Amino acid sequence: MKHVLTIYSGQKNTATAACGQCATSCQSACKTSCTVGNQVCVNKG
Amino acid sequence: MTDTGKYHFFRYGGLNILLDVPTGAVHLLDDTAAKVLPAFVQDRDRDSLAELVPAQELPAAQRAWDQLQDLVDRGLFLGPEPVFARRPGGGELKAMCLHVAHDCDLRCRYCFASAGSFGGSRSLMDAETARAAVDFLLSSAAAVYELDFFGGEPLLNLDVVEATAAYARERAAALGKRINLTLTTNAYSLAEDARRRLLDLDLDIVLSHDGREAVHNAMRPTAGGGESYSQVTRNILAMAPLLEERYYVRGTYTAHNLDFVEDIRHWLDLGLKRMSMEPVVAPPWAAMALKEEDLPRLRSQYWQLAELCLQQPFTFFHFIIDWERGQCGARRAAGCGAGVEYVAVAPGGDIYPCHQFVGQRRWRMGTVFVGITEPALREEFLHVGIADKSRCRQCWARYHCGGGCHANAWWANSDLRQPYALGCELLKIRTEAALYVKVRQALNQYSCEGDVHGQA
Repeated sequence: MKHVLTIYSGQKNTATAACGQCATSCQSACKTSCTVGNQVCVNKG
Repeated sequence: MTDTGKYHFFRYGGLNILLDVPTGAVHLLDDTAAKVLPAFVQDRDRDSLAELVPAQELPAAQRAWDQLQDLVDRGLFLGPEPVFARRPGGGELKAMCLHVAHDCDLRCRYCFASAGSFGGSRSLMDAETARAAVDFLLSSAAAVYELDFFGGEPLLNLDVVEATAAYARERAAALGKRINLTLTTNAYSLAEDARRRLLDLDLDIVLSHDGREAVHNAMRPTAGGGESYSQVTRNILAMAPLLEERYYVRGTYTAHNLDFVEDIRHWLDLGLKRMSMEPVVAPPWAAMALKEEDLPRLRSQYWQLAELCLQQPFTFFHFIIDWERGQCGARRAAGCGAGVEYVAVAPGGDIYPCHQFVGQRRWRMGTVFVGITEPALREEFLHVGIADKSRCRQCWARYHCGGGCHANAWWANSDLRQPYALGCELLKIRTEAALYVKVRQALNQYSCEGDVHGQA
């Protein structure tokens, strides 16, 4: 019987790691453009 | 809830959710495994189970224990802390917030920019300074840049926005680089002519709006003290459909609208689909300031928002977590990049670590005409990642947060390495809700046999 189910195996994005292509700005004020508040890689390469 | 900094366990909506912090792996536990978990992480002595559970439950508890051990063996639970040797983009400057207007046609009561003036005189950036700022930005070795037109209200200086956007694209192309442009506006002056001019600039746009009419009007009056809701809403509803996925509506909630999910419902009723709602940061004595005693109610709001996200399609910015491609660990570890990869430029050309520090002499880093004259400030910001903050090193949410807002840390604690505690709590609440949404969506999308997302 399965008591533990892995929903997401938590791989890190190694293909584009630290590429610096993502927007980088604040998570607290007016600017909804960052990858701190929004954790999506924008590098399509 | 449990928090050792290595993992985080929480229960909501009948789900027992276990987050492995170093990897970001997410596991669903049944009640037996949830019961076994504390003993497993404390001493890892399987024989102790006999003292913890009734004899008839022992076989199931032992199976759950073994399955938790299997996660450990596969590197999906209680593994080592990752090391990120390189900052994103090598730490090159790549993003700039250009304050083209230190003036505003609204007088928002929570404005960190002192209603647009940033504590100084009201002023507009001239085209020459804006060009110098672009040249300064593009002089770094980055390959992809972000330039955000900000204020105050940037539409008050739309001619300079247009000239600077054209210049930035031309210079970037000449250098073989790419530049993305954004603009943040209160939309009060976003009439038809301004909408057309912005569309021609090919920008991503953040549109500020606070939701319900009474909430919006109370917080976002015009410079003359009038109501702004009708005009702003009319302009946003005319603009948003033209932008397709290139906009966010962005609001601020305060102690006066702790039921902020009603403001998000209002946006949905208006037909808006992409949104963000942020907690106000205000001095603790301000009536609008959020307080620790508000946290239970705010937690309830984020759970309501999570359920709303599962019921109807819309994008809530802070619930987006990339499980398809995985987190960029280097970005999470480095945080927002203020003062290093990101700077803000005031109308006169002074450079600051970010838009929240603009106008504060202590944080002036240089000017766009001569460059960085205070390299020690950049050095200071190089060392405020999550590994540099004792509180973050112990926090389960560190790879979903990135260490919090430096400006908030400074204002709350006069220390860049001491995060703003209330902000931390809200971030953790929001992250739990985001993870819950992801888990629910995964369960809805896939069968529950084996791993349902990613390769284990």
